[in-house]
Amino acid sequence: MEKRKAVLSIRGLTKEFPGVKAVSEASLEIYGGEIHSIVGGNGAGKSTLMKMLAGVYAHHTFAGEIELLGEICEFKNILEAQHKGIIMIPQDLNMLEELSVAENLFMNKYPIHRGWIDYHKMYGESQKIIDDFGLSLEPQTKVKEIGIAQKQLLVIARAMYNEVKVLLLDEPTATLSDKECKILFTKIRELRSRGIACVYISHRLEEVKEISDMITVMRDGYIVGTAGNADMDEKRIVSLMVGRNVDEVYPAHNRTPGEVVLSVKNITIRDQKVPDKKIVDNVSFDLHKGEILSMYGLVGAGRSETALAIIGGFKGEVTCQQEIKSKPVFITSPGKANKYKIGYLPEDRKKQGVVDIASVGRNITMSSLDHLSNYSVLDQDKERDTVEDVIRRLSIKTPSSETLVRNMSGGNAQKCVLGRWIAAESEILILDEATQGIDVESKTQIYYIMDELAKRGKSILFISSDLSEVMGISDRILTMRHGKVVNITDGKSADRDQILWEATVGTRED
Amino acid sequence: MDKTQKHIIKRVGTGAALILMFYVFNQLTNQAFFSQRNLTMLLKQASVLMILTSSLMLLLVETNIDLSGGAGVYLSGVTCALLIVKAGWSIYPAIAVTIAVGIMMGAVNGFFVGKVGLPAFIVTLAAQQIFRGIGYVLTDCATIGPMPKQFTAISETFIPPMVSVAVVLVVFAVFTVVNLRSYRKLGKWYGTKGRLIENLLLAAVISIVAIWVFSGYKGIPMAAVIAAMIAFLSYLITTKTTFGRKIFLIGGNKEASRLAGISIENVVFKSYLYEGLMYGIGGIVLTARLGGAASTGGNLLELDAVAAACIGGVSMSGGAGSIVGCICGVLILTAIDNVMSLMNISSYLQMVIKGTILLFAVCLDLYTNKSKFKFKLANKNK
Repeated sequence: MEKRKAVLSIRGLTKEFPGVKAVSEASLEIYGGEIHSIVGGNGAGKSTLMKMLAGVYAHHTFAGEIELLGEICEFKNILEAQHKGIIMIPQDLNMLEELSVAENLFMNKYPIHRGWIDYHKMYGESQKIIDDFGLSLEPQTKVKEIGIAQKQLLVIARAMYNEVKVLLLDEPTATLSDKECKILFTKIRELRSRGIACVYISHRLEEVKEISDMITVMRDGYIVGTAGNADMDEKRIVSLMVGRNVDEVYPAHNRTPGEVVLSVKNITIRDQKVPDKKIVDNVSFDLHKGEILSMYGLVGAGRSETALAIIGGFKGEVTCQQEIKSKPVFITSPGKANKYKIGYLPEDRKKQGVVDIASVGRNITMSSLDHLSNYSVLDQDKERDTVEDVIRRLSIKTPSSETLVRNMSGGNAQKCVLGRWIAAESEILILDEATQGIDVESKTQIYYIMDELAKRGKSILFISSDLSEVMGISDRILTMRHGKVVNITDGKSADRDQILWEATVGTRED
Repeated sequence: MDKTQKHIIKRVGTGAALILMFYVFNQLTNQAFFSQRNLTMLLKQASVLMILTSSLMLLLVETNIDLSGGAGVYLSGVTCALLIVKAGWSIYPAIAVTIAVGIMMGAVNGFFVGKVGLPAFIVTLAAQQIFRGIGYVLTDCATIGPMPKQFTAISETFIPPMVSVAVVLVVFAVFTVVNLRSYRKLGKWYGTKGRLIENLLLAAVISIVAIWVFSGYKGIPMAAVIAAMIAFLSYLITTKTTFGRKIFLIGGNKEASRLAGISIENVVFKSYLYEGLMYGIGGIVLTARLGGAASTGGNLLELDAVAAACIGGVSMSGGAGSIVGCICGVLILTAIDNVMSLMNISSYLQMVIKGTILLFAVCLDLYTNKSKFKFKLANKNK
């Protein structure tokens, strides 16, 4: 290989948080015109490393050197890093929901004409960007009205139209559909051909393999391996990430589901803006005791809405009939669902799942406070025992039960939410994208926990967009498309291509 | 080790700042501030504010607010004074009805904020006008009084000095025993040994000061006893009950709490009921202290309560706060009032100074870790 000069070199970067060394002695060279992927489990330090590069953490808060184009940089904040051409697209999108697409695209540098914002120009240029990304949007649309995937692409678009030398993408595809991923990848490759260095963080190994030139693996804050794409096969990446060989990702499948526990009939939710459109259309299914029933479908197929309707948590009008153990029930609120021993793990961990300024213990017991108290006075002994039991059973990695959830990695935070329903002794668990955005090791642990729960007679409705895990874990697979149940098949004999076809057919694929 | 050192430095720093503050107050007032008589009066003066703040804290933690506090206290006071002075009721039934009226006012707020789901700011702003207006209508804006001696005794009597000393000692003893027990029982949930020593040491210092104050003048004022009991009740609610726990969880993340099965409607409604209970009690104590219900009673009390909670470290973006902090906030705010009065500063200028101090206190707070996070959160929510 010819000798090239690195755009960005980092030497010995180390960042400590109280009690944890998030990144230790990280050194890397990143070249222009190259897509460099960083993979690793949650808590491996990828995001922290990115934040150090992007100036989110001021330079004096960590040790080590960052050299950009031969110049040592000591960023005090994000703006300084942006001026030098390092732009990060964070995991949680920061868009101004009440403003229009165009206003968001041109944030901070509105075209000015005689002291006034030149809307004509702004809308025109926005339209170009939107068309370029293949989005069907109006520049005047308010951001709060568009889908999360489109928002993601907009944020990326916003970054790309800035002066950029190094683009840091943190889990950009977590919420994108395959089609949108393709658009994104085309854009990233375009940037590469312009000589820009892209650093790409993802949990999806297939994607990483598809797009990367270089792959770096991190574990527990250390860089444990860097190599060209050809020298890193998936097996090697996973074994580096986990620190051991993983052959058994999914638990062996020998459960025997029993009688029907939950039966839902004719769930229908209408779109509040378009009355003719049904978000969920006449969905009916049975859930058996000790069964893992997966609900597979693309984003927007109405799966989360169905789940929310079951627990009475949907904000809006729902028609729905439910039976628990053949007795009709009317579940009008998540609190009532809890009384009927139904627990729901929400899709969006940060916004709907954890109370991040509360401790691990408080997050675990928040749904079982009534069992842990006498006449609403808390029984602290009982609470402590419950929390410690859950932490042990789910092997949640935390220094103590009093640690705040905001200091934990995604996988461990997710286990707290799961543990909440184990503490509440729920008989029926609805897990909505439980493994999204968490590392391979935690994923495997969650599969094994699900298996154990099912064997103990709990029933699990597992909502997922990841076909491999659906194939790996389910007793039965329910496929949804456009708010309708397309098919329910047996998990063991299911055909991967058939399910994918059922979930996607009818949607426009280019 | 580094962490403990930092913690000790912080604690010692706070202590030094308090002593410095007392010294400055004392100098400004020609040694009048730090006398047993003045400190006793200060506690008496702080009692109504303490009662209201300790329930307002719950609302602030769950990201609600109450602007009708002062008006609620006023209307309760009017009710009580009218029943006793005009209608000739005896004291106990009048007190019972007053508390019921307070709770009803809380229920009105709670219904519209909790059950209907209107913004707390607007609902309680409207309620402020309504409550105070009803009070003016009923009294024609006149002062209702004088209250019988039996009634003013609720606020104006003192526990005799020797009994007061005994009370302080008993409270200290109970505190010590409870702490030792929970340290042994809860283990690491309680904290380190250092935490235990720190708690006991702090309690000892406070007890010594309390004994000095109460033994030197008339003893513990009754109003302060009531305020202390209310503060203790709020402490129990926030730390030992599911209701209190749910308030903190809702303040931390409303949507997550809802999906975890917590009934936000009920919790919010109940917390306004509790606030209403404090209107009743606050109104009774205020009327007893003033010997009647004056039309200015409870004026701007709600804003003082917000300020005290804020100085006491209650997060304005919800989810964090403690009753101990609120007690400190109330005492500091009242001490400032007290010093300014002793210095004969005009009441108009007092407002300017108080506002400035509030602003300064929050800015100072910004530099501690906890509130840096608080502000970040506030920005994120925008």
